[in-house]
Amino acid sequence: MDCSDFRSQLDEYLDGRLVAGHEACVRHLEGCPDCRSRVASERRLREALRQLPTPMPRGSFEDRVLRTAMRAAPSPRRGAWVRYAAAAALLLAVAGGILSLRMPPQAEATLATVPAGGHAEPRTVRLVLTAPRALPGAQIRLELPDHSEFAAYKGQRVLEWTADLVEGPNLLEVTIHGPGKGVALATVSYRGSQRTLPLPLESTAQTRTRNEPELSSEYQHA
Amino acid sequence: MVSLIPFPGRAAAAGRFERLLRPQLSGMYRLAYHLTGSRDDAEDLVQEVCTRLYPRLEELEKIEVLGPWLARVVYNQFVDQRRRRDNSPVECVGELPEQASELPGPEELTDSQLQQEHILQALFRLSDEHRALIAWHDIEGYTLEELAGREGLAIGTLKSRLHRARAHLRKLLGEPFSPAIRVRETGD
Repeated sequence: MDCSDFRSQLDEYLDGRLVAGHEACVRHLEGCPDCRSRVASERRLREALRQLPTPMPRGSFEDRVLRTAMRAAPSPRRGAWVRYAAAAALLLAVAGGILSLRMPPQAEATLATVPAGGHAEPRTVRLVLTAPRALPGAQIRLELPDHSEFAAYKGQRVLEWTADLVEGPNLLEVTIHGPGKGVALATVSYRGSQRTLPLPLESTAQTRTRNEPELSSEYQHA
Repeated sequence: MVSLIPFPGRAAAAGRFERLLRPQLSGMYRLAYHLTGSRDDAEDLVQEVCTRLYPRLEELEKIEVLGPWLARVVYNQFVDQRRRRDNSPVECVGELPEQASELPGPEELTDSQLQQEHILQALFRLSDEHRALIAWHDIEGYTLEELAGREGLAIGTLKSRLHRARAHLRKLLGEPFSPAIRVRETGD
């Protein structure tokens, strides 16, 4: 191996990628001060590259990036919720089935379900839980029918979480994938009391057959 | 007035995303800076990557070793940006990095700082593609296999590109590279 051969393999040698030619490179280096000097120079350059400084990002960079990313993402936004709240009331007047959920003795709620937007997939289901008083830390559990899933959680049809329910109506909007028919189960637990209600995700016509109270009563606890 | 119940997806997803990404952000930013040469551009690049990744949270959670995967996303995003921006086949001569102007005056610089500035100036005279490869491999220490990823980019192609990038850098620095700065152009 001469100097030209060695230098053509210098990168591979320093990267530790040489297998067959490694021994030949070592032997060449032992007898060639010029190439040893070249290797030393290359190593200094690589060390200097690894130590190049990086200016600090501006303050709160991590918080800012995360917050912006999550705000910009296509997920439900508060503004949309407010619009849906108004839409939900209108839909309830047309198609809402009202289901009572009693929370003895101190907690009561009325729960309404509205299949919104027909049965195209994915579809949005809106629930209104009316609480007679504030229920901080209420446990909510939603179980979708077989072959359904939450749009935000692929493959998952049961979700449980804690929410602070305020006195009066509390709106929840859930986007789901699945067949047009079936019964979801909604469970609200609060301080040892628990009630589960079936929430039919059937057609609008079927929902209308249910015994519907006036819309105004939907916002009153049962 | 109807009160709104937060759906768990939003809050829970935000928490999961933050737990995954926050420990990686400094490394992503460092790579982005050495790719772009600008603090502003680096911040913007990381921001764009994170914004695109948030809806792909489930995919992120399945990545076994997240660091190199995210670095590759940053790298690819940078390359895509530059390709969109520069349709010209002529190699782009990059602007000098902010770092150069943020350094103290020449009389205050140590040999080490002079050396770093010299390297940075040369680095940002490389094409975007060459600089990106050197940033990836020689500055950040990622492997070419990690860059190739599952997409199966040809390692041989990456190696030859890296070889050309280093040769160009050596040429700009004046070979062989010496820790002593021979000439420093002040621009005055």
